[in-house]
Amino acid sequence: MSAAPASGAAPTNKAAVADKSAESAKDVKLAAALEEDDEFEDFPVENWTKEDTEVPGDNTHLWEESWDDDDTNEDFSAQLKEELKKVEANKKK
Amino acid sequence: MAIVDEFLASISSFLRKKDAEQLRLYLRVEPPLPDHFMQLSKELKQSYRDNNRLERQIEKFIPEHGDFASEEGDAWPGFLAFIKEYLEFWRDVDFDNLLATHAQLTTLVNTSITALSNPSYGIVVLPTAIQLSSNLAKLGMMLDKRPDLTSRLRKVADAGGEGRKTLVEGTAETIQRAFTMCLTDRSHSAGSKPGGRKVGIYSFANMVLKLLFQCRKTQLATQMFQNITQHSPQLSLYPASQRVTYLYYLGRFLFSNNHFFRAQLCLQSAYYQCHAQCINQRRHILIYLISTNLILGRFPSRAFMSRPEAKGLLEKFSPVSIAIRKGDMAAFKRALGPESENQQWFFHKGVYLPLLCRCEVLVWRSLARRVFLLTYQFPTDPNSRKAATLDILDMVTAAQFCQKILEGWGKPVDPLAVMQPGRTHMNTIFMKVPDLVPPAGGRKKLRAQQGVIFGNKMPDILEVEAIIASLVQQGLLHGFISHNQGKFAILGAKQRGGPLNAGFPDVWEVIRDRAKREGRDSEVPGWVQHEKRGGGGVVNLTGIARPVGSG
Repeated sequence: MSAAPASGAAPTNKAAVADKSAESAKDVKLAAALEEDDEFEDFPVENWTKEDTEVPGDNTHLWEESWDDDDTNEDFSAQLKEELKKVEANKKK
Repeated sequence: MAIVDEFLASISSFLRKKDAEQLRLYLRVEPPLPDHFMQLSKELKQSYRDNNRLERQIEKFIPEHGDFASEEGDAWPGFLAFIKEYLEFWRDVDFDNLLATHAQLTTLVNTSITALSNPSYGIVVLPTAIQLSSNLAKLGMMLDKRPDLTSRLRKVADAGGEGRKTLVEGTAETIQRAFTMCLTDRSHSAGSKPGGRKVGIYSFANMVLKLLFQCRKTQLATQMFQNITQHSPQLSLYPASQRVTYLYYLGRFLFSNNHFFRAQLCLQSAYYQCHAQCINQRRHILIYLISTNLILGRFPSRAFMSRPEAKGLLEKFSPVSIAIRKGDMAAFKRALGPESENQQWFFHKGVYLPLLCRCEVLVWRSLARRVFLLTYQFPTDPNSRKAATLDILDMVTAAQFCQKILEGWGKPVDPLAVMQPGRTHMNTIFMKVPDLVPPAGGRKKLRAQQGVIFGNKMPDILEVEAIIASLVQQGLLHGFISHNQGKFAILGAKQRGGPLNAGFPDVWEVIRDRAKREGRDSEVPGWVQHEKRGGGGVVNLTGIARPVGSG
């Protein structure tokens, strides 16, 4: 059996190789992204004061508790409105 | 003076002075180390191949105390065994063989823990035992990421027929022994300091937790948390680094057990107490803190935008919170689906399934609110006593609409528009809006969790009514269902400032109030916040609790 690749098969192989390497490059990238400082590191110092924990900016309103969105003109609402109207119209027929 | 002799003489003098810190500095194993240690290793290799000789030398420099004249600061058998093991470690270690090093270090840690167990003198080796355990934990974590090295071990374990205990799990078990010893120490905490070996509780607990999270055996931590609740002094007596690390792991443990409210309390406290400069740790805490808060109905505010630890995180979570806000189920499924490119990341962090299952409830609540907003005709008569209602069939329409979007349905191509580009048919305004149609290649196949209800199942009234009933039961919708009329009716619209406020209370408010009612808002199992009354020690009742009339 000849070791040389049959003509015509070569480009496919090449493409497959390129594909594979692209895929493995993607895998490596993904793995790197997931591994990114994956461990909760040991603290470099043992103890600190309350002052050391303070960060600039607003520290009292970190969380939004009332977040309902009353805008009925954005895309999803508009489409949903159209759908509700249509179904309502079909019911009346 | 030979280096081994010099070393032993120093150890003996530290022991007499009870200088735990110097002992720790002398009894190190983790490179990089001063040249002295290499010389020590060399001399041990050259002159102390014979274990008996080594033992004699140790006893010469560090005399064991007799039974009668036990001077303070003398050595005890456990300590001598530990020093011998330490020197043997330096004689035999080959840092190029990580597995063998791990085995040797495990033996060394075990002997250090035995030395620590001496009730009178053990405390002097506490810093050393913590240091060595920490080295062992680090090596265990490192080896866990090297399956090429540990796969052989696993095969041996399998062949032995014993349960599949990984190297990391074994390491956790070793260190847990030290933890238990510290926890059960009888010394009382005096004032602002934990007494005796109790000082070491959280140092060891944090190592064990790190290892258990690494090998995904977090359930093994349950007993540890229970024991801490019963026997530990309050956490606030310990250094900040230990408090923050412990609360981070406790928060994650509670999160993975679906105790989101309590998880939030721990993680929030860990975040507030964390050093402002420790970005790695703050970021880890924040990942779980944001996830927990999303589930509880709180979204990260703009305050996070300027924080370095939040960099890149808000982008991952905001599609989820935006979808919840709008009640857009399709956008929600996509925000957590493979198309978002974040699915793997969420999964890897262990927050994917909790977010998917728990936040979905909030999306349903917002979708109900949205449909109400779009369909309800606010009464013209301000004195109308008619209850505000939401038609369940409208909710079915909305749920089916989301399902169609997920399956790739779209508007049919208008042949007239194609034939006459740029011109619309003059009668378009009179024409009815066309129905959505499935894509030409067939409906997109959805996996179970990718569909609104389950895969490609089109939601129907039975399911939607059940979902609304569940929201009512959870307090997320305020009102009742009239099954006969097919409607959800809002209660108390007048008193609560309109049907929107009355029927759809803020999620966080509902969850927080329920936690308060059930007493889950302050006490967290595993987190000792107050000093224990009565010291928590064992009271020996022999001789006190005699039967009535016997004395």
